[in-house]
Amino acid sequence: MIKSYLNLFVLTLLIASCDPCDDCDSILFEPTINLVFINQDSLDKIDVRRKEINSFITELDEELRIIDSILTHLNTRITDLNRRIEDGEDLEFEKMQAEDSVIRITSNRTTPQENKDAQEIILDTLNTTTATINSGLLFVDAIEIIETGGLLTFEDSATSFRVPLSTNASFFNYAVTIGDEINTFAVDYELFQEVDADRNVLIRARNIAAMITNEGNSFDSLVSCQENCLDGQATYTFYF
Amino acid sequence: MGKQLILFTFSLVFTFLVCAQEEEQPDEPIPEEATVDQPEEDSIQVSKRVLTPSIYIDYGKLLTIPSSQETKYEGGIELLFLEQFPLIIEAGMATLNPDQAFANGMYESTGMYYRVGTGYYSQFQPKNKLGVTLRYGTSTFDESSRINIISTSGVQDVAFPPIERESLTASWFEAVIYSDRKLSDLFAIGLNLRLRVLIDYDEQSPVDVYAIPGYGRSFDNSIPAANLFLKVSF
Repeated sequence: MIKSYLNLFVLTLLIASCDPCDDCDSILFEPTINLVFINQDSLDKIDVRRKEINSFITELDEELRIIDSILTHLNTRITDLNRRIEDGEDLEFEKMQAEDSVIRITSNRTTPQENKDAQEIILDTLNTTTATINSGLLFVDAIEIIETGGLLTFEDSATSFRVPLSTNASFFNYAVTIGDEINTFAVDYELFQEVDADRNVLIRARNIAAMITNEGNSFDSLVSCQENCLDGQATYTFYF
Repeated sequence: MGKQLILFTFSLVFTFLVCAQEEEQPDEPIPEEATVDQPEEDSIQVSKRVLTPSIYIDYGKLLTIPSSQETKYEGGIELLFLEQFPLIIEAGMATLNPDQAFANGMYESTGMYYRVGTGYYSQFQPKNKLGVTLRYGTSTFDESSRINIISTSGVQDVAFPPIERESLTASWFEAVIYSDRKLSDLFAIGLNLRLRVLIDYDEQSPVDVYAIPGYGRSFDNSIPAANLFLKVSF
């Protein structure tokens, strides 16, 4: 009997001393910022092309308006001739001439209309492309953290790219590869420690500022986070 | 915190009920001649000891030894004057490793604590004392922790500097309801129900102190507690 109690006591001690959380005392976390890349050069080129197309469509519209006006006039004349023929006048030849004109002009209308339709399709495509570029959707080949050599690669296009900030320094340089172009920028910030609601101790970053670093960059401009530039929330938009 | 309050309230009510029941049903019948031949009040006062020294250990704390989250030892010295007025000095040491301190790290708070207090005991039953005391507690302790953060992107090693703090202090008051039961002329067992109220501690920023040996969690301004003790009186 005593042995049974002893066994039970030892078992209880063993259960009490088990730590089920030996491997779970860590967290996946690092401070990050959000990057958006807008291909402004492409936007500018597209904008020029859109203006050309819009101008062409305006010309075609004017041409179609004149044709439609002539056709309206001819149809009115044919109606008038029909009424006078019914009244006994001999105007069959004039009517035939007017109808021939309608057929010929209607045929001539087809070309500018087809041109206009084609230009509108191109314009729609350009508008879609503009919206896509404005959304930031882009394929970025890689972003390298220059200080550590750490390389972030991306499999798909995305509208924004999350990059880590150093947890050991308050300054990081990055090189962004988009197609054949490599552009660099730097970010500085202030690190701080925080205990979150789940009692995780984290290293966070605040007062984050980004800047374009060298003259050879094809980055033209940068729109930075203005207020409460906290990691995980701050977004920086680069135009190139 | 809610569970602790319920436990504290239940323990308090339970203690009073047990004592009250024992008052209604005395352990030993009083001999008839004793009721007839009551000793004079003066003779009772004469029989009171001026000073009763005792030492005691908190045997409930020994149950923490197998625990991976805390190890505590505690004992005290009591000088009881006129069998009613105790002067209490308690000392303890604790090593606290609560899992809930940090979700992503290991934490340890270790140190010594002391309490002094006084109050009033009543001989509630021939073998039972019940009393109320007030105590002042102070703790000196060290904190250490190791925080583990793994880089989400995997492109850097996240090194969180270890937290090492030494000679932190904290102080608090305790209101204690005391009860004991005499087992023999030498030994008694008892229960202390405590309500601790934090006075102050060495606050740290941004990662504050979590556990104070002898008190509890630093962000609890008041904490109920219970101690079981074995007392040896001389």
